[in-house]
Amino acid sequence: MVEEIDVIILITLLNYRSLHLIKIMKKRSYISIFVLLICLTGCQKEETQVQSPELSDFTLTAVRVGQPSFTLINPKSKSSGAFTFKTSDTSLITIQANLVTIKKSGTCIITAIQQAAESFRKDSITATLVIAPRLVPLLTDFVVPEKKLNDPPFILTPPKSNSNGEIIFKSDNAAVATIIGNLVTIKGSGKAIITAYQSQSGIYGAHSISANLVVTDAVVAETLTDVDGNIYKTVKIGSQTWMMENLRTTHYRDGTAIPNVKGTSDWGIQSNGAYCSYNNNLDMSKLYGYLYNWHAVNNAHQLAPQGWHIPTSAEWTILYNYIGGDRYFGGKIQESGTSHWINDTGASNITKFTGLPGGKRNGDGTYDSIFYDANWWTATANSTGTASYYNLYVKGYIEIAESSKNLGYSVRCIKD
Amino acid sequence: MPAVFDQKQIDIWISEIEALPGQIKKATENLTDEELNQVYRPEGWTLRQVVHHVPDSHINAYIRFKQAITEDIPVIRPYYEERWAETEEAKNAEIKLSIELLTGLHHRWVAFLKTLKVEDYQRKYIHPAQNKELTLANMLGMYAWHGKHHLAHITNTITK
Repeated sequence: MVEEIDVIILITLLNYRSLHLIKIMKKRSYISIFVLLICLTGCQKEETQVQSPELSDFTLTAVRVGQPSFTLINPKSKSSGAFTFKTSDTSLITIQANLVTIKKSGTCIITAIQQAAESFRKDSITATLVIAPRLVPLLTDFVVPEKKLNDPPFILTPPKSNSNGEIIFKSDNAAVATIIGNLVTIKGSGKAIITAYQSQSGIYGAHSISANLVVTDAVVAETLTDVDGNIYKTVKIGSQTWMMENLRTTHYRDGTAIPNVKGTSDWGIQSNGAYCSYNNNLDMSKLYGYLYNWHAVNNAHQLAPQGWHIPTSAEWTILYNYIGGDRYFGGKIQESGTSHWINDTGASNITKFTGLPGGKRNGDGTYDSIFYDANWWTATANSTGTASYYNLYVKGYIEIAESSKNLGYSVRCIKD
Repeated sequence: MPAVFDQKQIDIWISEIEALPGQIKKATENLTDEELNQVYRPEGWTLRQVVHHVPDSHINAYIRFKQAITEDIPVIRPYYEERWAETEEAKNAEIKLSIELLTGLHHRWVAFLKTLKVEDYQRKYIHPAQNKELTLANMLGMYAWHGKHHLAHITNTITK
């Protein structure tokens, strides 16, 4: 038996709004309960959203890290209810409204949730999104040419790649080569692995390719003997062959003696060629060569040994440009260490030119700047009283300058 | 080492530093503005800039020497000599300003240098660009050379 009060409780739970119907029921019978349930069913169909929107067609194609954000297409639905989307893993993707931003590779579930609308209830549907990792770019054709120790800085040709990622270069051996941007500067002989690193871009990940840079030693050319019998080492630097030591002949090419002017007051008044040893000390000349005035450099008897000549300013400029074309590159033609230079400025002497600080003799006959300055005459006069010379000084800088022809400077020759 | 840092050598360098202001004054006293505006080398400084550069450099040197004596191997403060030489007054001001500055500066610097004992010249400072310890003896020689180096730019240029 079902008590009237029991029926009321049951109906209240089912539908509070049907209470008024129950209250008018007077009979205790199963018939009245049955009638009541039919009424309730009819009432609910009229007033609540019970229909399924029948969501379908929510599929997702695989994507790749690096792809741009993409828009989710709403599933097919009978309802006009608004959709929202949720991801099962926010570390892989984020969703704002229907815009998906890919963060990393993996698999996640995207749930499309449709709000209730009209007679359709709220419902959802899921789809699996597979996010593939970035592709490895195809890097090919990375070639670094073999180099000589004396070769000037050169530009690397980047490898071919199907990615647009930025490429940077690195050398694993700074003693052989250093790289700034794509410019390689040779520092020594040996091998360096040059690696082109490509950064990730779009669907392509970061990758690298390496090539060997082999730097062989400078070409030390044949020796040279002057008219006094002094033997000099020589070196090929670019297109030129230079003496590796300062000239120390006391005779012109034709055997004519060059006056050795020692007197302080005599030096500056010479109108013909003259030479001296620093501080009139012959031991100095064995190391640093003699100092000559420009009248000896420009002399009909010829100061340079047979087959060689004193370089003009233009020929010196070829060397200057070869080492980098800036005054700061003097260290490439400067002897390393402090055996002769007062300070170690990190000179590489990469060319093997081996510039030594032979100092100078001033117009007043005094000697100056040994250990601090190398000065070499050029064969180029600038005016009646002056000629050009190159000054390599203790800071590792090299500059062209001009001075009176009666000063005493060192001399280097180049092969004709 | 190519040079011996004994008292005799130090005295020579001090005397060269002492003589420099007078030498620069003498070398430049008859130069016209046009001559002072000549460069000593292609793309180099004008003689005016050279004259102004010398006290710029040596005022830094003076401070470094004082620091090396009063501190324990200090790391000195470098300066950008190229940028200093490009400031407006370094390019255009009358050289008298720098000759007077150099004269006073060297008076004081030399007075200080002369009070130092030979062993004091083994005190050091660190130049961060070179990242090594430099002795005052070595740097005294460098600054003596530096003065002559720039004096030669002036004297060589005006003999053209």
